Amino acid sequence: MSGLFGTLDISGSGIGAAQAWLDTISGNIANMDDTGPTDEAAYGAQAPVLVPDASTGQVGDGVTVAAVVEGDTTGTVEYDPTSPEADAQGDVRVPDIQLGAQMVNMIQAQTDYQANTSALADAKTAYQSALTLGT
Amino acid sequence: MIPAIPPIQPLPPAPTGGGASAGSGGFSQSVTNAINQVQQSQNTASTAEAQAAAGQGSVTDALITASEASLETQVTVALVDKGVAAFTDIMNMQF
Repeated sequence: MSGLFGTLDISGSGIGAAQAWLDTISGNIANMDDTGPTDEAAYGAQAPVLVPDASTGQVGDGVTVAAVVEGDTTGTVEYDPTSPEADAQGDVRVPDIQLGAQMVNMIQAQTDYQANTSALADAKTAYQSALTLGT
Repeated sequence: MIPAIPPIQPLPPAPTGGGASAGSGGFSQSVTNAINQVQQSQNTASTAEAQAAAGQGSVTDALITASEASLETQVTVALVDKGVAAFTDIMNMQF
């Protein structure tokens, strides 16, 4: 990472990646109760693909979100004859998203975010303490 | 046939003062460049903050560019202060 204060940019990329992760988790939880016809694909849990940022080809370039991949769209078939989307057997297709797993992921993403902000704050303190050299 | 003698070229101006004048010009030039750089990062920070306030761009980017602008200002001020302090020390020399 070029620039005088590259560490801040690196931590910023980590914050952005954690934010993207949190966004996908929020989307998964929001779509957890989706229903659809059994002949269509269900909502697949989304997750960001985080890779090292190779824009400058140097070590310590931070992280970037390469893509957002969609998980299994098979879902599960539930019996819900009151749903307007139910088929002749009264079945609907719902996403296979476990709230517990999503919440655990959210804790990880939150910790990820906090770790990056902590690294950023420490880097800023270190830069400021370097300015006091010789005084 | 003998070619005409070309006119004598004027001499280049003699260098004056050597390192001393070059050093003083270099310091002011460095300060100017540094302050221009600081101005540029503050403009970047302002743009990022305006975008974040308008709902475009991210808040973290705005805060990070603001931190960078703040740190660059502190670095520049610290270095200029050091240079001016050195100059003042020389000026206060007693003979």
